[in-house]
Amino acid sequence: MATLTVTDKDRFLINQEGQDFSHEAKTFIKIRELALKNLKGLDFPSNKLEDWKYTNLKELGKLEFRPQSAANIHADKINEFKIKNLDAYFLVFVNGFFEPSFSDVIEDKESDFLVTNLNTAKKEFIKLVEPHLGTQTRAKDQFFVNVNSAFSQDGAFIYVKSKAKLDKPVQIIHLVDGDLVAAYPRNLIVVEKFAQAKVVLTYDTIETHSALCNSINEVVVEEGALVQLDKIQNENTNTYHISADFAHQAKDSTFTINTLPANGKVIRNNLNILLNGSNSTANLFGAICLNGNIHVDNQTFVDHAKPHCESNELYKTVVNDQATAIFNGKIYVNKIAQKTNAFQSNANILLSEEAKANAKPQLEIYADDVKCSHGCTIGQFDDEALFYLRARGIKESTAQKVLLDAFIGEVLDHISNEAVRAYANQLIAKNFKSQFAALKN
Amino acid sequence: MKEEDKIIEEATSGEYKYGFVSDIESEKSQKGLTEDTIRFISEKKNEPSWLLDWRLKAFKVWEQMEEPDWAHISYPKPDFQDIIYYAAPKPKKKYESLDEVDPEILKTFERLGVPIEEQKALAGVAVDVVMDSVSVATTFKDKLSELGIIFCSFSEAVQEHPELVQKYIGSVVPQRDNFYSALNSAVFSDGSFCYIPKGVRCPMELSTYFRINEANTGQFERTLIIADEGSYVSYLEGCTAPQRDENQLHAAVVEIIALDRAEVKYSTVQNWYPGDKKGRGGIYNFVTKRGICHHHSKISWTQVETGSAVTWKYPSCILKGDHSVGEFFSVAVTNNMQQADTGTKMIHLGKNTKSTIVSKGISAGKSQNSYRGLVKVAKGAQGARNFSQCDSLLIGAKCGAHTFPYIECQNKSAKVEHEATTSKIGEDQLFYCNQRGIKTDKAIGLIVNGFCKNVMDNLPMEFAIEAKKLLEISLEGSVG
Amino acid sequence: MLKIKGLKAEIEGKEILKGLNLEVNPGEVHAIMGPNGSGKSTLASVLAGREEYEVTAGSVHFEGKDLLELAPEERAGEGVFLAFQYPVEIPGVSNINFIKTAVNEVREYRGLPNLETKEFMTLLKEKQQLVELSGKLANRSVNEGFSGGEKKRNEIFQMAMLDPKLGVLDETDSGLDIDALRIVSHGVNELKSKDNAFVVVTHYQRLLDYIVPDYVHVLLDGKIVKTGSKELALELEEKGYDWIIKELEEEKL
Repeated sequence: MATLTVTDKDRFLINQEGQDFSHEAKTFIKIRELALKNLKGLDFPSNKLEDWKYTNLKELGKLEFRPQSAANIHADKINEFKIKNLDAYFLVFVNGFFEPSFSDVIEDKESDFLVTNLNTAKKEFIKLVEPHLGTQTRAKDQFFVNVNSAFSQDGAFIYVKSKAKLDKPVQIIHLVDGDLVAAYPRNLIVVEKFAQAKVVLTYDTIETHSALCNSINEVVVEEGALVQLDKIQNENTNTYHISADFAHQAKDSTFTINTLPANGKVIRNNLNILLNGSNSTANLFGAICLNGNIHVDNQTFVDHAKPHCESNELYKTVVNDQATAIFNGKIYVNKIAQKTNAFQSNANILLSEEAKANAKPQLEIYADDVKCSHGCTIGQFDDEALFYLRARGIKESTAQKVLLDAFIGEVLDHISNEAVRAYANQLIAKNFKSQFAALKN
Repeated sequence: MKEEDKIIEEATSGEYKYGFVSDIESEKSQKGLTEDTIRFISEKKNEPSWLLDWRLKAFKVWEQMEEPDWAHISYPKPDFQDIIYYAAPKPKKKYESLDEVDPEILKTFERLGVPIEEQKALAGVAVDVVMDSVSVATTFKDKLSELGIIFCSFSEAVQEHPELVQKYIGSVVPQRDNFYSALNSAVFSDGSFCYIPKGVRCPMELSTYFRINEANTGQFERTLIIADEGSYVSYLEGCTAPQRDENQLHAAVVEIIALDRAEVKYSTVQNWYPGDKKGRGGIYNFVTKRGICHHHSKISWTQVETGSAVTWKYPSCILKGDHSVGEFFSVAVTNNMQQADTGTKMIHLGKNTKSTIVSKGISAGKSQNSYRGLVKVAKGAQGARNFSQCDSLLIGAKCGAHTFPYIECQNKSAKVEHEATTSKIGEDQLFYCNQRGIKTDKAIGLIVNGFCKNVMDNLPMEFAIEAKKLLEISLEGSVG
Repeated sequence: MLKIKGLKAEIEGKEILKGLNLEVNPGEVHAIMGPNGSGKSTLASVLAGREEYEVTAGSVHFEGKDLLELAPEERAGEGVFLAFQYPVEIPGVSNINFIKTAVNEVREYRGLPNLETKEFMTLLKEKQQLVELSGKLANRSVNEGFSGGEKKRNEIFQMAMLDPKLGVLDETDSGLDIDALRIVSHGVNELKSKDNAFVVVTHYQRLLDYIVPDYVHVLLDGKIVKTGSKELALELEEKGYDWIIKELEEEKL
């Protein structure tokens, strides 16, 4: 008899089974089936893959993560995760499952916008969901995208009718709770012609010794629409976070995403922006301030498919303790995308002996009439500037803080909501508190 | 088609000018690669047994390797069993003077515009001519030997200085380093060897002209340069190859050892046959070039690449010693159907090591031009510094320019800066030149040479002139 | 020398020149004045052959040749020189290399042999002095890092080197201080002869104090609507363009 070897992939996938999706409309079941089919041909990501060169998931592969709903959830705890002073609609998900009792739902068919969970929308607003769900995530080669597509439990659905404006931002709160939990939240945001929306995504942990949050955000930005997404990842140091964000932009649209990975064990973000209409603009900003043992890997892919588009990318990273930061940004300019302006900048500061930063800023250009540039730096805070501040009587720790604020501030300024910005600042300050406290002594 | 496009198309469709074949009898090995082939080569070259063993070890490694496909190039994979691994012009024993050299060979060089006689006269350049794998003439040898400098063919070095060869061969590029280096290690035919003794400053540029000549012969050159403590040498490598219909494989290995306080400047002008407009023929150039720097030493690579159908080349520096310096200056021009994936690796291991990368890529026609580089700062590389600048210039709308830099940093006191831009030749700039009476193709030449200026400035004078000419030839319809 | 008849030109479908007539003879200096957007710079660009502009009607003859048929470099060879309003920067190409290439290309066009290095250097020094252009600029990249005044003086210097029959100065005075203006004008006046001619496109009268025109043309909405002597320029400076518009409207009535 031949020996049966169970690969990490087999074990991982077997553990995900057991959820029943048979109640879903056929069209949605098809998405799951396609993903399962794709998974057959894919291996569990290893360092041998160029995309996973710098992020090792060996340990993750050995853990028996399973989808499971949370046991007891206290209202007090949930409210902690709502951003202070933020006037918003809130949608709360725990372990990928919707928690309506903590959420503000707008499901009025007459309303200019809908704010609800995806499972409801799949039933009630199938016409609005069907044309968009899963259209951007067909990526055959991405293991975790397909895992989410196959096993996703639920997520948010936000829809803004053409020319309308979502009157308040929506904060989508995704929480993990319990041990060996696998959560697969999937949000769909559809913003029609000339409409506007601001969404804040926060990922937190209630309590866990080991969890996986594998999330997907699909954003449809139609002609002339304006969408801003703030994504804040603040899970505990036992949580793996692997996410993929997809934005599909039509002409004259603007999409902005601010990524702030603050805490977690391993965070991997894949941003996929498709500029599929002329005169569209994509802004990708990242503020990455890391301490402890965290490993953060940001991958961005900006696809200039049409002429006269612009993309701006600025990722700033400060790495402390034993943390590792990876930036892998790619700008792809299609041969018809003349008059493209694409800018990418990645700046890294290493604060400690053990800190690491790797970067791979790539340009792949097939059109000739383009202006593309990228810049990447790795270094320390400017000694001259530090000295200058100290010479003016500012303590070294304060001086460092001032410089850090200035360095990261350039990115945080793009978060337009004050309450969200304050929250982001607070997270960063907390991360580096010990660093500056140590310096004071 | 717009008038301007037409001009650009004309300007970028210059056919290879050096396409002619010199008719020299040669002695070849059988096609194909087995242990016997290797034994044949080794025997032909009368090699010591340690070298044969070394080759056979490399062959075993190679057999287990797969041809890499991660580079941004695509080409029909060569059939390694359909290559003649050894071809040497029929030997006429040793040459005492140039007069004994096959006149056909001399004529070939004359037609290239670099006649040996003139080369000899050129500001103290000693030329070690490598034609189809075997060194046929070496000049200025006496003068160099007075200083204790060894500059000879690799085979000669194996016979005359086995202790040096044995000590350093494979020390920078091990046999198993990559697919092509393993292949080269197994079957290398000849190449150049250079040793500069302690404290000696080589008074002249050492120069080798490579030339691929026999149809269907792979060229497996091996170059070993050892700069002993406190020495200096500037080494020039220039290549042109005659036109051929079949793709020719070239997998060279260059190893440089710069011992404490030594400085090596290695300049290349590469102008192998790039294939015709439709991409037929042309050289496959898969080269491994690497140097290791000991304390306070410096290795500087300067390259002007205009030839080959497919180029895969990353001259690199391992900055092992404290305060060592690595430099890479590159101009890579691709036209018609050419593909180039080239760049460098700077591995910072020692303290206060410094590296500079300046890469200028120019793509025209339907070519694809990629920069791929690695800057790695290891944990112990306190105070390491790197500055990289990668600029791409696009001529015409059918080509592509790509940049794939890898930056890995594990030391907080390091400073790494990378900048890259991609642009086309501005219509404003062309119009300005036109208005001053300068024709578009000439204007492109002017602007391209301007674009490459800070790399060309690093080439030795006589080489720079040739390189500039090459740039114009590869981008214009007529001789510049 | 230059005969423009019924010239119409547009850019991106928008008509800028709407039937312009102008005749320039050797030895003459013509000033073209007009408010912003009247088509002054378009005229200069069309004469030099900038491709973005499409000529839809009319003709331009230079020394009997159909100028519109010629490529920009051929026009330069024929002797049409445009001093750019915004001279472009060409990184890495030294000024001296640039002008040497241009001189020899133009000479080749005119059937003259290349200049020997010595002759070229003599000419270079002489012409540099003409516009007080520092020799240091010769080795710098074309227009890169030049001040506004240096760029304009560099334009006049190039004109001197290329020895054109017709010099078209496009807003050469813009952004110049008095000293630079004096130097630039001095250069132009020195170059002036009975065999060549200048078309000076300007917004302000002050340049015309230095380069005295034989004719002043007012360009309005793509046409030359009024021609006068240098006094007309003064009148325009004082009263603006509105009175001409009014005058025209009255004529129409």
